[in-house]
Amino acid sequence: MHTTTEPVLRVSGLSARIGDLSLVRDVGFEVHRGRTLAVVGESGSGKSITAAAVMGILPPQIKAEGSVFFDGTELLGEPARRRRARGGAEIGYVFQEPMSALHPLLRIGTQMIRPLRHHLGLSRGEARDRALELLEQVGLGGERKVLDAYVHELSGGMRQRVMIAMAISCGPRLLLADEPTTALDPTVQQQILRLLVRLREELDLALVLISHDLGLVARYSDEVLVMYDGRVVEQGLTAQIIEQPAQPYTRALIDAAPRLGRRVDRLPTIDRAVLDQTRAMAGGV
Amino acid sequence: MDLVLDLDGVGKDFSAGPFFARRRTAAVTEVSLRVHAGRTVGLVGESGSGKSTLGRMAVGLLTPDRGRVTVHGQPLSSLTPKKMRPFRRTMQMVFQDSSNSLNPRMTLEDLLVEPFRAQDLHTRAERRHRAAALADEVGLARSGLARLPHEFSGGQRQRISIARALALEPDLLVADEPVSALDVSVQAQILNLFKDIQQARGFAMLFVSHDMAVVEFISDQVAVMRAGSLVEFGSRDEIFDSPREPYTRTLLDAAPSL
Repeated sequence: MHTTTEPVLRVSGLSARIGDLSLVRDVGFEVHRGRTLAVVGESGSGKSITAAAVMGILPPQIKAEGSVFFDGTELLGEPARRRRARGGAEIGYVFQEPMSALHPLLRIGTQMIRPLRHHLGLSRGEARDRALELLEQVGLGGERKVLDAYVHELSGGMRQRVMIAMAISCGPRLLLADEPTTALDPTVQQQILRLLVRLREELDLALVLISHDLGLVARYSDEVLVMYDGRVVEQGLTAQIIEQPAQPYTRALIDAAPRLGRRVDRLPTIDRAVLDQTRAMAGGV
Repeated sequence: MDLVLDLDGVGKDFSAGPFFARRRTAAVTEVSLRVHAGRTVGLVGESGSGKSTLGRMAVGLLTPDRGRVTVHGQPLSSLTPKKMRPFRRTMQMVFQDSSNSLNPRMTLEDLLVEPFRAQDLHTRAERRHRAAALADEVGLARSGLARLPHEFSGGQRQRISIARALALEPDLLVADEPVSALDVSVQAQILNLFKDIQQARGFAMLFVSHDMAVVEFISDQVAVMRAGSLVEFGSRDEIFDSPREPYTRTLLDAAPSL
């Protein structure tokens, strides 16, 4: 455990609302270097809003309160300009759909070189060399042509590798991956997650993995935060929570997923009572 | 057991590439597969394996370039368009994205009545009566009959799609990734629903999915596809306990199941 070191990211008392409607309430967690924290929940649980708040990309009509403390600075309420300079350099982002996160009309090389020149002040030639190194790091080393390719010419797995290469390009200390493999085939998904975990070790990053998939979370994270209805239901070490969840909601969520080797006749569904209880316990109405 | 779907050496080619250099690639090379009444065959494979193409050929939405599709002893290729229309009652399909397959301006009742109208079956009163019964069967409240698709959740919309597919009492149901877009808790409900309804009605089901754990739950037999070919076929226990093909093993190993 890294409890003695300062966390790279500390979120506390984070709430987000649109007008009177509360989207996320009192969310808090810490991530340390070299560790992976998974934020897991179903749609509407608030996991993506939480991620967006950390990334500073909440739509303007959503108001956030609380604290997002990154490496000694408070990010919440930071002026947009400073925030932009930080985003992409100190914090790397990997999104679910690289097809829409990457520019369709610019070559991959152009898109990779720009942030390198902007954030690190490299020359064109240096940036190009660095881009090739980065592609090598994400397993696209033999693919020189990638730099000259457009997004639509790459496969889903290659696109996500390019996204990851760009996310780590300026030496971030924190990598935030929001459903990074949801649209990918299982074998490709496995490769991408192994890549993320390997990079986290090699670069000594803190990794935050947002996912709806408990199976994936169980395999690839150290700590987990289970969310429901905008609130944290349970958090702690992944192995412990998957093995012995303290909350009935977490238990029910684990049981509802079909599991290899467990040949049941019917899948247990989540009780209304469990949902109501979970909502009440988390301090809601 | 009653043989419902018989795919015999079925294949399909698609053209791809620039106009003057168009190449033909086989989406499905040559696949033979049988599905019996009351049984579910799970069809697994990764994107591009041809599993959806095969599913579409099974219900006559695509015409194969090779081989023969026979449903209930009737070769689909021998049906004229005029005869095909009434025959479509016997084979139905449920898609992944139910919101795109439901007319946004039709109420739940209209949506459930539509299959009968398309086949010119029953009186108006009888159609409405059957629509209400279908809503009950798939677990949709009758109070929602006047609502529009957007007023339902993703799971409820998938229930609507299932109800529509079942309206004409098909002998064959092809479900193409019907739970892939759903949350785990909703997925569990819909998977249970598929099982219950099949037990009650006894149709043959071809269940297409990329998710090994889902396929293990729903299937009696499993077919594994890769690059247009069937690489392994067997009972559920054979495939999941002792897969013979390394590719099947790779898929099992990659599945992020708990």
